[in-house]
Parts: sequence; structure tokens; C-alpha cells
Amino acid sequence: MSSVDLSEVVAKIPRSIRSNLSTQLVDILLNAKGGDKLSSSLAKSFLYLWQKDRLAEDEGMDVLLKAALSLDAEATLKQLSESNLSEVADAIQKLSKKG
Amino acid sequence: MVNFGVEFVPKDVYWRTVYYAIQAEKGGFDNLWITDHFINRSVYVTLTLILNYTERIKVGTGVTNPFLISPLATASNIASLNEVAPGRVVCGIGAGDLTTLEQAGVQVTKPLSAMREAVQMINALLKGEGLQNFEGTVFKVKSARLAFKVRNPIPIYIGAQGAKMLKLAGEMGDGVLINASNPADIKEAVELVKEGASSAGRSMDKIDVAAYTAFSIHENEEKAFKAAMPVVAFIVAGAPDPVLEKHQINLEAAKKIKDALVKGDFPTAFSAVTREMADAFSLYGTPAQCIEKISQILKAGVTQFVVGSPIGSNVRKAIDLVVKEVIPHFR
Repeated sequence: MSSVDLSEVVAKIPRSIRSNLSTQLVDILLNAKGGDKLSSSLAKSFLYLWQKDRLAEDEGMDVLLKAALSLDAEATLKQLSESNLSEVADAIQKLSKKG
Repeated sequence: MVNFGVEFVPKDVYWRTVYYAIQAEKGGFDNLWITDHFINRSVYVTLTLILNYTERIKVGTGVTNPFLISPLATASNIASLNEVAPGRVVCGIGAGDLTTLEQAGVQVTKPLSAMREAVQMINALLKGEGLQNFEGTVFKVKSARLAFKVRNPIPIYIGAQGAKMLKLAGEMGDGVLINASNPADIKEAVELVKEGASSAGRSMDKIDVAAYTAFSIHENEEKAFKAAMPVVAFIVAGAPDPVLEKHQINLEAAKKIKDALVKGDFPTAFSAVTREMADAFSLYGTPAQCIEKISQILKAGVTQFVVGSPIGSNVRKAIDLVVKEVIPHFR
């Protein structure tokens, strides 16, 4: 999926739930098996944005979603649904099918 | 005021360890220690990355050893690391983990002499003095000097558990990493450090006394205990009988754990850990229980409390608990 497409999806995530959601996505990242599969560029962006406290911002959510989806797509989509973001989960699934 | 340190074992991919390091710095930890085992990720690669993603926290090897890694290489590694973030690097060195060294086929001889000489060698290189015809009982160096200058003093911490090593730490170390978790053991250890310092005419004010604990925290005490069990199992298996007897631990029960570990039967070994064993060799509990136990430890004269592995069943949440509920109590 392209960065432009995912940015549009991120924009749908209400600011009020971003702080909690970012923590939940971080937990998926920290606990998923196969952490070595995370691309080097995503890992560096993730750490940089965490250091700067920007994980709940647009860029941070974008990186977190990409990273979490790459390590554990099932848990990420489940988390989005549980956060009442089924629309976002559906949009991501459609983007994935689109490639 | 006591400083708080945290220890990470770089057994997972680098970005996870760095994530926790950033979290620890944001949460007010003062020191960060990374273990050095050849089976895990490189301590120096991990520390370099941590220094690049943090601004304030002091970092060090927790601990390297002079048997697997030449003290000359350690001096070069530490000095190079110091260039990444001058003044934020310390060197932690101890005699090493016997089990890991045996696996590597490394013979541990004269650990006390080796440590004394290693600290002398590292200090000489870091201070720019170099070594000429150094004739130790373990290490001999014809001529060695770093080809670059170290612009600030780098403290050396000595990891210690036994009486002689604790005294040596008091005699030579800028800091000591006391490998214990039980308040009575730590009190005894601090007295030995004081003896060593006194014998060398040094003031304890110059020595950072760190309690390097096996720590586990959770809102639910049972879960904190369970997370501590694997680490305690390894400590019990490696403890000599007199140490087990001192803590009134059943030798037969300890042997059962050791046998299971040797066979690779971890579930049996871990589940055989008792509360008595965990009380003797770890600091675990709810935030309130941890605060109570840490308070006892601080009375011994400890100046740095190190939250060591496993920290908790979920490391991020455990660090968060320490940051929000434990550290503020002592500040």
C-alpha cells in the first residue's frame, strides 16, 4: 500500500483516541514474534518519532500502523476493530488487496 | 538522593532494547546498563544506538569481563563509545558468568588478580598513560596505548558478589555493582566495600554503590513472582551450597532445579522455584512491596538502585510502573 493511501486512512483516526491507540500498537510491535522482520527504515523512524514524542501524530500513526501491520497484521486489525475503528481496519484491508 | 538504573539484556532485536532505553530516559532513570554475553547482541552496538537516541542517561556495560574480551579491547571500545556521547559512558566490568565462559571454552583463572589487572590496564589506557612492560599474574602487555585521546574521565564500576571482589571494588572502583537483591546480602556487601575503601584510604563518597538486583514488578504480586521465577532458577542453580544454606534453601530442591536446567527442561526448573528462593535472590512484588524492599536496601548505603532483568512480564508496562509509582516515592 502506498504512503499516500495510508495517510488518508490515518486522517480518519480521531485525535482523542490516538494516545491510547499508539500505546496499543507499540505493544503489538514489542511483543510480536519475528521482530527482525521489521524493515530497518521503519525501525529507525519508529525510534526517532518515539524519542520526539510524536507517535500519536499523523507521521507517528502512519509509521506505527505500517510497522505493526508488517509484524502482526491480524493483531493490528483486531486492535483497530476493538478501538471502534472498523472503518479504518476495512480501509487498510482494501488497500492491502489493492497492493 | 538515590539514583535509579535499569539493566537490559540485548537478547531481542536492537530496536526493542532502544525503545525501552528511550522509555527509561523519559521516565527519569539516571543510568542504563547493558549486559555483555557473546550469545546476545553486541553490547557496544546496542549502547551506540542507545546513545544516539537518548540525550541525558548515563550508559555502561553491565558487565563485560576480562576473560573473553581483552581489557585492551574493552578500553578501546569504551573510549570509542565515549566519543559518541562524552561524559555519559561508564565501564562496568566483572569476573564474568562462569556458565557462559565455560560454554565458550574460556578458563577462568585467578579472577581477583585478573580483575585488579584489568582495571589497571583499562584505566591506564583511558587516562592516556598507556602500558609499558606490564607484568601481571594474568595479563602481560609489552606496549599498549590508544591512538586517540579520551577527553573526559570515564568511571570504572566493578561487578562483585564475593567478599574479596567487593573489597577490591572498594579499593579500586569508581563504582561497585553489587550482584544481589536481598537487603541483608546487600548490607553485608556494602560493609565489605567500605572495608576495601578504608584499606586503600579512600572515601566512600567517591564510590557509587549500586545494588544490581533481579527485579520484577506487577500490580498483581503473583504475576511479579511468576515473572521472576526463570531468573531465580538460574541464580539458584549457579549458587554454591553455602550461599543456599545461608538463605535456608533446601539443597535437594536446588539440585532438582539445576538438574532440570542442565537437561534443558525449563518448565520443570522454573516451576520448582519457591517463594523462599525468590525472596533470597530477587526483588519482586507490587509497587508498594517494591518500595518497601527498596527502602530497606537504601538504608545500607546504596547510592544507585538498579532495576535488573527480568523487570516484569511485560517490560514496557513494568518500566511504566517503576516510573510512575516507585521512582517518585524516592524523589
